[in-house]
Amino acid sequence: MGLRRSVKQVKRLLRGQGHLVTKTGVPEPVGPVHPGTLPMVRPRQGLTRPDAAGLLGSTLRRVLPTDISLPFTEPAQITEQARQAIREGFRTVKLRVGNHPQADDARLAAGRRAIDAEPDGEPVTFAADATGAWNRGEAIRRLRCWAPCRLAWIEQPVPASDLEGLAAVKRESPVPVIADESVLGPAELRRLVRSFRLKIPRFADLAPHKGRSTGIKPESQIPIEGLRISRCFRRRHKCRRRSHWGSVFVMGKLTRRRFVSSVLLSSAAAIAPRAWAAAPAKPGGTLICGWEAEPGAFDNDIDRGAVTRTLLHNIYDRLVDRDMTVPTSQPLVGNLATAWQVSPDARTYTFKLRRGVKFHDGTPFDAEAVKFNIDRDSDPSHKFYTKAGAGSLKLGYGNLASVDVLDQYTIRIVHKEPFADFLEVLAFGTYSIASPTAIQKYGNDDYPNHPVGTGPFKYVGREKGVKVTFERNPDYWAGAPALDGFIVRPLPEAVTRVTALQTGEVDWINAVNPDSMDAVKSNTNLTLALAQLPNTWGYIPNHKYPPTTKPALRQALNWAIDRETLARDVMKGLAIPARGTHAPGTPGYDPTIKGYGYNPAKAKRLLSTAGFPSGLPLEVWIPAGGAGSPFGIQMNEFIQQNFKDIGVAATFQQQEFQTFQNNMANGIQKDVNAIQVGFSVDEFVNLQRMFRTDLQPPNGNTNPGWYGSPQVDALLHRALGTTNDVQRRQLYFQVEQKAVDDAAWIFVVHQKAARAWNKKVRGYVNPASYMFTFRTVSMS
Amino acid sequence: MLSFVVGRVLATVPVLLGVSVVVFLTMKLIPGDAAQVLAGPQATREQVELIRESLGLNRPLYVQYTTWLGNAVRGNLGRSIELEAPVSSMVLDRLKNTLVLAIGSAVFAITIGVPIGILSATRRASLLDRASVVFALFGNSMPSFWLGLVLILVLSLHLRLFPSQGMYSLRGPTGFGDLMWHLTLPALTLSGVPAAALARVTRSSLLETLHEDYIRTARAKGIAETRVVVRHALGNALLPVVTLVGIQAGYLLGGSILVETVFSWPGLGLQLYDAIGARDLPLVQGGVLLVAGLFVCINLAVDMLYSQLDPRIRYTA
Repeated sequence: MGLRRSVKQVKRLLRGQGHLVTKTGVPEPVGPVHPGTLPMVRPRQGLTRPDAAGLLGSTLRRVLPTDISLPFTEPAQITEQARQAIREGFRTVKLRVGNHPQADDARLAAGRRAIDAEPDGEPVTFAADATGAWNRGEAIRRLRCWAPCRLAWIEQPVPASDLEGLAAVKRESPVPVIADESVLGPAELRRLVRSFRLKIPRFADLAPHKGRSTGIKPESQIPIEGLRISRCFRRRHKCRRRSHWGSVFVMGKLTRRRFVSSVLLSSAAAIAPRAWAAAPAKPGGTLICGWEAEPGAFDNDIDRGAVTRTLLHNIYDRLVDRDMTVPTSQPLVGNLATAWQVSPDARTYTFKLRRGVKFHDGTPFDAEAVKFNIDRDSDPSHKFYTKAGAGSLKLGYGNLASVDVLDQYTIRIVHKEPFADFLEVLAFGTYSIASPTAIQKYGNDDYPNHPVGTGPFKYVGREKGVKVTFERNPDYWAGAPALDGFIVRPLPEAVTRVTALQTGEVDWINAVNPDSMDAVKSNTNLTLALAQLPNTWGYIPNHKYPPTTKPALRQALNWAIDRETLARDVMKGLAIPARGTHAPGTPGYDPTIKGYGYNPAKAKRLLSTAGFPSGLPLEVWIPAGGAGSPFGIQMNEFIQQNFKDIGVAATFQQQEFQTFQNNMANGIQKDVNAIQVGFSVDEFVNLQRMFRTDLQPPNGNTNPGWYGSPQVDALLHRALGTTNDVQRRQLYFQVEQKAVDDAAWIFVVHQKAARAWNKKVRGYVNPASYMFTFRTVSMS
Repeated sequence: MLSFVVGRVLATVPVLLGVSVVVFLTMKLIPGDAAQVLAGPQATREQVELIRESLGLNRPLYVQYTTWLGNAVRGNLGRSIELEAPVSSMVLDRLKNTLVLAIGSAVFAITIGVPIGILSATRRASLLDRASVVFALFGNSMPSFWLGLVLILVLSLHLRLFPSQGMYSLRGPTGFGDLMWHLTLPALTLSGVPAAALARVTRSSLLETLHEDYIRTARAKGIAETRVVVRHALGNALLPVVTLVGIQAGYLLGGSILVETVFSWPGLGLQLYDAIGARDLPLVQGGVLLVAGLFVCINLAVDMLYSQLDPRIRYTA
């Protein structure tokens, strides 16, 4: 609409010309009416149209696109109606949903198929309107199931009055959410603006209207995310009772006063909203991604680091998975398993497998294939046993009693010990299921160059150092991805990577370097978004040798750190203060844990309590370069100063990598008081490895500080045997709280990753994870 | 002549052996091995040991080295740990890309460096001469990755004249023109140091030659100055220049690691960079060995070129 003037200005202008502002327009066709559009209307008196348009800084439009809403009809009819509508010229097809869940599934699928089947032309937007039919849980569940239908948005998923529910759905939904009935007037909008971080686009003016202030500050001062006017006067009757509110917004169309504004709530977690404009979810296009390193080979069972592992998620499926199309707190969902049963002792897992799934090589997926994959990485007598695979999957498959195929689509996995965290472990990328036929064909050595999975994309090939190519799996069981494929381009130099994005040579990049973030942000063609990583950066104190054995001293060190300043200034916003073990947005995050703030006075008091009123020296080891963060050195220097402020003279010893690793494996020795680490802490099972007494060195290297507490051990032991998820969560939350109270670590920050992409890239969900998927992406 | 060549070729064997031992030991000195990288930072020792065993990294050093050497002599350079592919084909694949870059840079270096040297020698102490000295100092002392980034920011990001990375476009046609377009910036960057060195050596060598008696004789005969410089002086002054070109060719092959990384040029240098990051010893070994072998070959070629430039030089084994 391109309006650049406020209501006041326009009114002044019009009055100056002797025109009335409040005249109502009456529809009057100008020229032949084209189906799928609405005729512009002519004001009964006053301004002529071109005058008005020009005055308003806009251009005259002869036609105004509108959408078509398909009613609750049978799937077959939907196909017909959608096809008809597209041929008539409609470019937005909206489906009414919410009457009957099963019927909706079929109707949505039919709608999507009908749209995809249309020959190329202008892209058609596909959306749905639930008119408040669901509760929040139901809404989130449905929307996740419908991810393959690639909806551009969902309107009013929960009842109009349930703003909190709307917020909850917005947070979890893979589809942008529009508030429709929830915004009837200024009061509702005010509430919405306060409840969410809304984006008010340029064309919306929120100046006071008819003496009633909206109480909303002008655009420039509002935390912005996405407000949009969606309705047209096709719904005049419905709109009439919705007050004058619309006219405040819709100044480009003086004659169309009775507008309803709809507010689009976009993701507040990701800085950048997902495409709110009608995302043309038309199949096609190739995404080119700038990678920060050359990916390794694509073994399904070896972790070659996040740069490779995230690609495993695109090639392969696992039995269960964290749904990466959800931005935060990714739910654990069935992937190749559709259902599972866990025995009360948490040892026996029986999985029902998805039927009709085929590997990329055309061979069928079944229980034998799963057994082959598990045996290959756990049974030394298996013909294709790999030590490297067994080493890498020891956590999940290291203690198996048996793996039995019960029937073609049922498999039973029995552990020797209770292992209630097994499902979460299975969701890790390296538990991917590969085609047994391919492994047999190529052998263990060559298989990684010919990876064959069941995932949304097929591996096509690679030119080392140049590109790795993937193409759409048209038979993907959850619906083929929109992209024709994607290309991974290794661009190790950070400046080159950003430049290639800016010049359009690549469409999407990972690991934007901190110095380039402003340049990317200021480029209107690009979107920069931070993703909270499941990462915890801090110090592990020595719990075995004094003086750090005193809880008061460890707490004092925790209170001494100014995490806010550290995250904001030193780390340029690429981190948030750590309150405990798990970062927000990770499945193990407990918002009730308050952790430690910045309170030097309290730290000094605690230091006295611990018996060091005049301070003390500390010996801290850090890995060479301050590992685990690009800011490692500056962070350590900043914290050293924080410690100094409370009288603790910390000596930071840089240790070369090997020495440091040996220390981790052998435990911290007597002369060292703490070591600095940056751990990936994603699932609850990490707590087992970080805090269990029996996993102290030399039985593991993730508890190098010899932390041990009988209470924590008991909780962790109980958690392993607790199959009820809610109870298990509670147990782990207790462990986290105890670890924080004990100051088991000196928790510092949770780091973030900066990713950026061209605005042409639609539908990319930026999850709070090292992993991501291109399954939902399309190119415009 | 033949015996000279045979002798020189034989002499390369201990050189290459030495290089392989040094690389092997250096890679062992770099902290962390491939098993540790594969297992990740939070793996238990047991996990790392299993992976180390599967890679054969638990065997004594001399066994690892001699096994590798035995295979290498038979042309088998082993398998890359990170990319699970035979090293010999991987390094040869990349070599041609590096050669393209090296030739491009050599062309730039010679066409920029030699004329500057000639001009500044013939206009000694002029403003141009001083500027060329500054250029040589600047070219020699600035790091190539810095020059690369500056060129990317100016010519690629702001002026949009050249692509910032890669050897071919990922979208659109890929032909010879596309290759040249992609080659310009990395070749220009890589030519910075050799161009400066060539300018300096050409200048001093030409200055020296211009003071020779026969030049005075030529001038006395009334031959035009241009002809004196080009026909009489330059040929004789080129000897040290050619030696330098040979040495710089080695630099162009081995020293392109940084430039290739900055421009994501899929050559040996970028491969070495990735391989070192992944502690992929077989790949590092193979890559360095190839570069060393090439270096030796180029030096040999330069030595043989002398006789063409200066017939007085004779070879004895």
